[in-house]
Amino acid sequence: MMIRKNRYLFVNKVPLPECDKVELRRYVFEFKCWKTVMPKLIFSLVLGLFLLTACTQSGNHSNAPDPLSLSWAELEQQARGSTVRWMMWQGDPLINRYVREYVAPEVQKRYGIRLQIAPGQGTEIVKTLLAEQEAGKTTSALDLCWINGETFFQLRQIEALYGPFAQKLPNSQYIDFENPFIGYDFQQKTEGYECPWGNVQLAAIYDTLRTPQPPRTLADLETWVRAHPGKFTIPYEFTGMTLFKSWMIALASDAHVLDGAFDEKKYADLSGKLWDFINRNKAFFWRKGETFPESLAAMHQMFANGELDFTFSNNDNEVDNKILQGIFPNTARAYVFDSGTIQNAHFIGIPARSANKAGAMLVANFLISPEAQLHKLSPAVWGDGTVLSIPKLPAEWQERFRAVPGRRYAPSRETIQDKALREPAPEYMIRLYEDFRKKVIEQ
Amino acid sequence: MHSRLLAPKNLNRIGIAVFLACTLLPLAAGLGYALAYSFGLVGGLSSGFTTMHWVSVLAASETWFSLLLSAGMATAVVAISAVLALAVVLAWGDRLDCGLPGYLVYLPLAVPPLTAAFLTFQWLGQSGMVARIGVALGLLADLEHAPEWINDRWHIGVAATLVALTAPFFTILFLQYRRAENLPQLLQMARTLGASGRQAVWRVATPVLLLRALPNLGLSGIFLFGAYEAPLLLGRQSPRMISVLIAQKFRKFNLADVPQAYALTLLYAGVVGLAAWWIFRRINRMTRS
Amino acid sequence: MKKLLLALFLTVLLLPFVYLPLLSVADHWRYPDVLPPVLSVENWRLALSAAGGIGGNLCLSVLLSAGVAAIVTVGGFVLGKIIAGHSKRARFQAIAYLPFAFSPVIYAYCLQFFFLKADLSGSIAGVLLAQVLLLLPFGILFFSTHWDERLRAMEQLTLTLGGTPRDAWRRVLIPVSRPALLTAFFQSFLLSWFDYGLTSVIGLGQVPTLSVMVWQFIGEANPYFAAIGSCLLVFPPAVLLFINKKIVFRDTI
Repeated sequence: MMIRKNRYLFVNKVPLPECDKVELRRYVFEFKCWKTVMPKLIFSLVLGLFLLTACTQSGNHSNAPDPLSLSWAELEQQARGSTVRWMMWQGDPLINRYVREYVAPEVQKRYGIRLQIAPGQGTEIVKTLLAEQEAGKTTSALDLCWINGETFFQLRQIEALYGPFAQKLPNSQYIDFENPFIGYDFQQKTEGYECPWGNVQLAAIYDTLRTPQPPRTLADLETWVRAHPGKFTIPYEFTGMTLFKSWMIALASDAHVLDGAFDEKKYADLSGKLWDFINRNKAFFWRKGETFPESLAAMHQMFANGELDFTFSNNDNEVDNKILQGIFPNTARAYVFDSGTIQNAHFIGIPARSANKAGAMLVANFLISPEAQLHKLSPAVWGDGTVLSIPKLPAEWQERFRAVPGRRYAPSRETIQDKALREPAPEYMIRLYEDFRKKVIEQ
Repeated sequence: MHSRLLAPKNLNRIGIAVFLACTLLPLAAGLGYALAYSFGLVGGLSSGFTTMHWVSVLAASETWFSLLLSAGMATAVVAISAVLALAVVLAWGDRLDCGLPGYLVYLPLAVPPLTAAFLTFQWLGQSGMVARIGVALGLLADLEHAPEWINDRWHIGVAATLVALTAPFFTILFLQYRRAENLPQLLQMARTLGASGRQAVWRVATPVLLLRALPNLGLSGIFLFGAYEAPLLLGRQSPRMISVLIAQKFRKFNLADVPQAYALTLLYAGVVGLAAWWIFRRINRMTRS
Repeated sequence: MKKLLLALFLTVLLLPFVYLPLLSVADHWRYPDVLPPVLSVENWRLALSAAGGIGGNLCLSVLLSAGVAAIVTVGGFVLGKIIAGHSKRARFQAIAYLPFAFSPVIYAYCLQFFFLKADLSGSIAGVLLAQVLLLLPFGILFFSTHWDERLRAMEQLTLTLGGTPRDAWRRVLIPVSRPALLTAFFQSFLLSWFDYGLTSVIGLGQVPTLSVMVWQFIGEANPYFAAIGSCLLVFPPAVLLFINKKIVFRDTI
């Protein structure tokens, strides 16, 4: 047989198949075009990059006077037109929308403040601020952060928080700082170094069609899990660890067992019982308990698809907003175990090295305003519990708070309030993270 | 003065200086910082020199399992991808050289690891598209019978994603070599000289393509060793691939883990450096011969 | 049979480009539905609306990646020439492989301290620089093989025939290298376009490129938004490939 050499066109000693001849002509044409287009392209590119970089430079004054020494009016004056960079957990579209589409435009309108959101939570915030300290930076890239519990504890350890600023905020007059679920963060006095923003209680979410009678105690749960292998798991993140704390308290049958400072002996005893409970049942967990979902988002999706029969949320109201978003079926409901679940507040903090503390305080003050809190309370918006004490509010606001459209799928706050447990000290959380890995996952 | 500065010799020196400043300097500085941090010499929470972090990293079985998993994953993915790509090129080389199929082969290059991992999650998850189609066609009774491919013991989801990312790259590579090495003619020649179809494929085509691609296969192995997005989304907690383990140590809860993360980084850098050096020596030897 | 298999193979290649747009206009799409029960452009509207701002992310990604690619291409072209002609060529090439072979996210953690020190983290300029540091070795490697005997001979010839070095670059070297320049540009553009690890660490989450946004949507368990982001991430390079696949890809070694 003959070798069909004529089918090939040789370019740079590399033969190209027939059909590339056409392309070759196209190359030539395109290169000619490029020659005229390229300089313009490069010019607009340089210009665009320059503008973008210029945009990200905020007009913040790092050597401005300490806002705590200013009157509120002076502080407003100082912060006007500045940029506030806020690092927050962005794992929920409704929360993101509340911040991006309500808070950001409002603070822009009222104070001319540009709100810039960066994703990050817990240790990421701690590590960002720690890395800045290590590099000897005098001004932080962050002005505001959404924190609670163990993050607050760690940030206080490395002295990365600014304060006491909370009581300086005019709207803080409506907050009852003596309320243990609001004025304290994981048993720690907040001392004005963070300002409460929302209040939530952990709840389990199930589908009434698949699970008409959900287990209400740990013993029931054990029976249920064994009868339904592969349908239950615990998220290996914040919510899961909060669930563990609720269970440790349940195992002690004393709602106040973990009150007070961290107690190594109590921890060893109760966590031992907890790991024992999980290890003896984990063979019946999702993936036989060999691995656990690392994001609540993934867990919600598996619940929605029927892969799991339960998911959890740190927000007792989340089931409402997930149904509204079309992510959960509308047969989903939330409930709280009979032994109770942790109720806690989440907070807003200001980094000690923030270049725009005044702006951050202005935004924080807006976040705890009756208006912003009311908007946030609505299940269609976010459904986050308010930190304001209703009796302290002006009469008109009291009425508006009472008239908020109720929850449709989540239990009402009144029915679960007596099952609310206080957050134990932050060390419990940090230890649980470590030990869950060592004593469950790696076993 | 001006012209002397721009003399070719000086320009070369400046060029080399810029080159080193962009490659060696940041790398050396980064690893130097990592070294100091891992021994407790720098860092916000350090309290002086200690070998504690190195000891705990080297003593942790997690470290070695993770390195082993990463190496195993890289090798398996390179091997599977190479075999797949080879089969595709040998079977359809002619058709994939031009026209619409010629374009389609390039398409997967437009999919980043992140999207690929997301797609795998959507398709291979227990309630994913594959399971749904299976149930719809009556092949699966229900979701409980769907195979576990995500976060599974054998890291099938991760491997599948990485193969899906790597195999198209190899395919294009082989297609180019096929053209550059005149493979169709070589095969014709072999046939006219009396080789059977199978012999032509095994004794001529495969060695020609594989040998030429070897450096590229090696490099891909190094990239895969440090793969991040796919194992992060689709892997399981224990063991996890080295990039994920290091990133978790940097990010997860205990602040005291940061020095360990730096120690792990150095360990990883050592492995990558050795592998790169070995591959580079091979390339040099091959180009010389 | 062979034809059928080929058709199947090509269909698999097309799958992401059909599935992602479909998912992006779906709603309430849960197990066991094989096809979405509801189609709506509501998610797109939300994603593109000013406050959602995915359009801004797209712009940022385009500009950032084009900027990185331009610097890497020009830098790689010039430095590649110097390296290719250097007596220690092999050693320099080996050095260039090192950062290129490093996992971007880990490289980023190693560099973070210095970027913080230099006040560059959390800014576009910082991410640009970090990506250039990561990708320039790629450009240099790419061009160090491009600068072969033939190209050097061309340069020599131009100079021998009385051309100035300027003429050699302007009238010979650059025109002859144009395909390679375009290839390098597109390849580094893609690498930068896809980067998530480095951008998220050096950018401190404040440089929201498309990849960073897609990652966030995946974290939100909002597959529809993740699909929208993925569409925006995947289709521009696919179109570029369509315009000229040969330019987008060339063996780097």
